[in-house]
Amino acid sequence: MAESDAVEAYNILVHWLIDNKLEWVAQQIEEETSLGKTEPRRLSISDSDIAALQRVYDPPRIAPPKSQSAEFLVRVDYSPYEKFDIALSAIRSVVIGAIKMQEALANTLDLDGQEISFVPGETGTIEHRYQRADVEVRLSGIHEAEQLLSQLANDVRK
Amino acid sequence: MTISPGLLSAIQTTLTATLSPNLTAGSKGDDLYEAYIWSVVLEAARNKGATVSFRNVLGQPVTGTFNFRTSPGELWWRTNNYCHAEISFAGCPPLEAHVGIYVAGRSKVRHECDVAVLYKNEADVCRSKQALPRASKVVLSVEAKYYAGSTLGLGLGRAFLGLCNEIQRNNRFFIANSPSKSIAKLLSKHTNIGFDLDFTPSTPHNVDVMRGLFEKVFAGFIAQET
Repeated sequence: MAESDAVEAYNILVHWLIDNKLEWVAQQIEEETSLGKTEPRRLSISDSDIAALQRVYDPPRIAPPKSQSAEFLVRVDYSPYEKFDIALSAIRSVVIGAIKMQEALANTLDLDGQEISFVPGETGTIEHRYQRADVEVRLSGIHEAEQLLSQLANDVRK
Repeated sequence: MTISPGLLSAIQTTLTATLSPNLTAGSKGDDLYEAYIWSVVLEAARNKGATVSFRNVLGQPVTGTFNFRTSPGELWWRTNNYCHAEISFAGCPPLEAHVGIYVAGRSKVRHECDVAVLYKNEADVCRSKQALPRASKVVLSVEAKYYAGSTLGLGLGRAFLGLCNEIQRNNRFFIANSPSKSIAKLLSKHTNIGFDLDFTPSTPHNVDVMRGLFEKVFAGFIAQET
């Protein structure tokens, strides 16, 4: 298992999103990975910490903590593997999930020769549309994509 | 180096070939997600014995194109002839299911419902008078959030709770495709709200559970109306 593989895979996935007009997905991934995660951590408070706090105010306004340690929520960086997981799950959810949602909607509407269109507002023109044949073509592609992404996840953790 | 040679380029090629145009459109996938949830609501209605038909804003059966909104709109808008579903349970007043419509809240303010099921007679009046459906006539509504790689902010959950106060407290659902511990914690304290923050076709069990909750709403509606 090499962190460099996770970093490389993450970068390739994010760049693929940007190159394919999915900047909004890439942006959300990068915002999340930059934000980091939080986890509870017990922090000990030394006498010098208390003294430093007291010096902030003149006259002192902070009562000395009763306990010398307490649990805080702290920010922690995601590991390269976690960042890779975030990018991978975003691609699975958005790119692969979209085709599955199209299929489910087509099934509910019993789509057979008709078309599904998405149109903004009263005056807009069609933003995107699809027919069952489009979904069927993409469905065969996503099965392959799912297999390749699973292999990538395994390789990164080897 | 443990990544198989050629794997990353094969992934890029395959993903590019399967890319759906809805993702690169201005709506960023939200519209399809809302329509997908709407389809799950309709499955739930069918599972409870409803007959479902698809009609346009003029009340005619949809024949060629099913038009869905990419942004919220008024129920009566005619230019793009948006479709909706008519849901009929035996012995009950008919319902309609819409995607992305405005309704009037308790404080007479306009609110968006990503998915809304309401009484057909209310919808008929609103179409003919160009009025907003009253929140009290909404049987079920869903707030949908479609985020890709980021955690949902707590503000979305709080805004939803505010919306629930405006549009009836019962049978309101918050559905998202991006887990958020803070929103889950917030919404779990409100037992009358159904929510799922990992709702996608790739999590079929979650979809099954939510469909079951929708079925429960329809079962309650049938019990009250018959």
